Amino acid sequence: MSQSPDRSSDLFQSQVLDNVQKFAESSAKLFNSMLGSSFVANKAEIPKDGIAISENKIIASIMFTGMVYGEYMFVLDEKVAANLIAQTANVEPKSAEQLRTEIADTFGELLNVVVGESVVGLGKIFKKLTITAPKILFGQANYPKIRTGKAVLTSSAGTIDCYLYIDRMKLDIASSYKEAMSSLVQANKELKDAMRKLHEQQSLLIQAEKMGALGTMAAGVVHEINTPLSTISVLGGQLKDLAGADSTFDRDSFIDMINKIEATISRISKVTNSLKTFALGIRGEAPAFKAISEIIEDALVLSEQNLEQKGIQIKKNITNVLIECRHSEICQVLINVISNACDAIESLSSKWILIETLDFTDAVEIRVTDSGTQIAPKIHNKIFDPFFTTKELGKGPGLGLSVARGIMQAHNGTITLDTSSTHTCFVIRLFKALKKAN
Amino acid sequence: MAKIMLCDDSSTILLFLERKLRDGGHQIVGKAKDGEEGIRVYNESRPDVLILDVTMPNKDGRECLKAVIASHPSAKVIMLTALLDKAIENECLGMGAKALVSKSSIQNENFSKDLCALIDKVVKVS
Repeated sequence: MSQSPDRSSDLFQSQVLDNVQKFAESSAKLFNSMLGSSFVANKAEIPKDGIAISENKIIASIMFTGMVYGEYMFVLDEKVAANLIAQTANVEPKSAEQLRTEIADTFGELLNVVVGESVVGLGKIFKKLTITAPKILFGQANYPKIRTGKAVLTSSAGTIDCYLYIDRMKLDIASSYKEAMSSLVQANKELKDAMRKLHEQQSLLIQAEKMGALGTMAAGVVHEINTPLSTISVLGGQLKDLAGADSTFDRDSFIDMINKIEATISRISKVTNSLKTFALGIRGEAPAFKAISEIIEDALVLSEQNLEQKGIQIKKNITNVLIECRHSEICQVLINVISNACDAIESLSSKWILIETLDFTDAVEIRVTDSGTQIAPKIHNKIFDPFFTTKELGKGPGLGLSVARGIMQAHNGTITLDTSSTHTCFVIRLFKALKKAN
Repeated sequence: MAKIMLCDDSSTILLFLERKLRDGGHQIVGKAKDGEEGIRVYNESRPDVLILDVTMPNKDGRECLKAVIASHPSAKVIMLTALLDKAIENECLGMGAKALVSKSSIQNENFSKDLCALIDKVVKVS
């Protein structure tokens, strides 16, 4: 059964008082036996002001550690100490320095002897106690006001204060190790939980970035679909007029308009198919072999509004290679890189983006170069960091390249900046087959 | 009466023991304040009994005991210690010490009498 704090405190206090009393009684006997004095130990107490030390005092102290930490002390006037030694040795010391050496030796040894016995009793309550060698201080020492047991030895030669201080702070190495290990295990568990939550948040952020990109594209898609729908609508009206004409039915014009309607519908279909592919990734998509040209085309279709609006010319040098990937994700990598390029070069006089593919034995590289100059070297190591952006506020959270890098890592591929290029050039490298990447 | 050598780093203990043993009729033939000095003084004074403190600077009491017993296997050594510990006691007795005395027994009224009796006992054992 656990004790209440008050009862525990009372018990501890009585243990301190009991032990300081025994310490003082043993000390009195030892002083009397060795120094031929007649000390009597008074009743132990816990003084309010802690340890009373003044400049003319000497302090002999022995510390102990184990399940508790603490100190046994004799505090007495230097004059009293000198008198006690003089009456024992029966010779006058030659110098003050010699006297202090004698005092240190005598009271250090006396304390050593009495603590050697007292600590055995204390060790029955607090296990595994070990003691230090005696330490002697002359004059004022800076002791904090701590709750200490005190018993005064009185004799005709003067008084000696016996102190016992016990700190319940655990210094036991084995217990401390166990406690440290247990708190490390707990900290580790908390870190794992935090990591898991961070991963969840990261996934949500990536998804949010994707949804954000989708939202931006939606405006473009509306434009992409509305424009051809207007065309169809106009052509439909013209066809109606043509069909309604009595004598001048122009068969060639009729077929031409039908062809235009078919081409326009095909354009709409292209946009909606690209969007469908992109949306597939949001719901989770299994890796499959796709023509790299198809992925690039999808990315360009979905970026078309952005490119057209900013008057950016697209140049392509693409070989038709099959790669195993999650189509929508690689498409998103390209959209993100193209979107960054669009923002970076929109104010330049020469605005172009070159998309090239390089075919290696097991891998393929997609190089996206824009007409802008190289990115400043001082930010090279930051551009893939989450939330790093050079764009003005409100133009994206700065997750585009970070998300792109995450996607490439998931494909065992890489996305890097070609720092040797005079223009800004991102290199997306993928293995042709995912199994070869593992 | 026995010829006694004392070895302790504390002058106070040396002085105290010297007085008590002289009062008990024994002769102090040598004194040393560390283990190294103890070996040298033992070789010079060849006492009947060496009273040797366990904890000392330079060579401690155990090292001194080992060296003395190695060169004088019949040496009679009584160890003196402030902290009476069973492991230390077993170690010292195992190394050839005849007895171990706690310094805290100094406060006992019969300390001198008991120590002298112990010395007599140790001397008589061949």
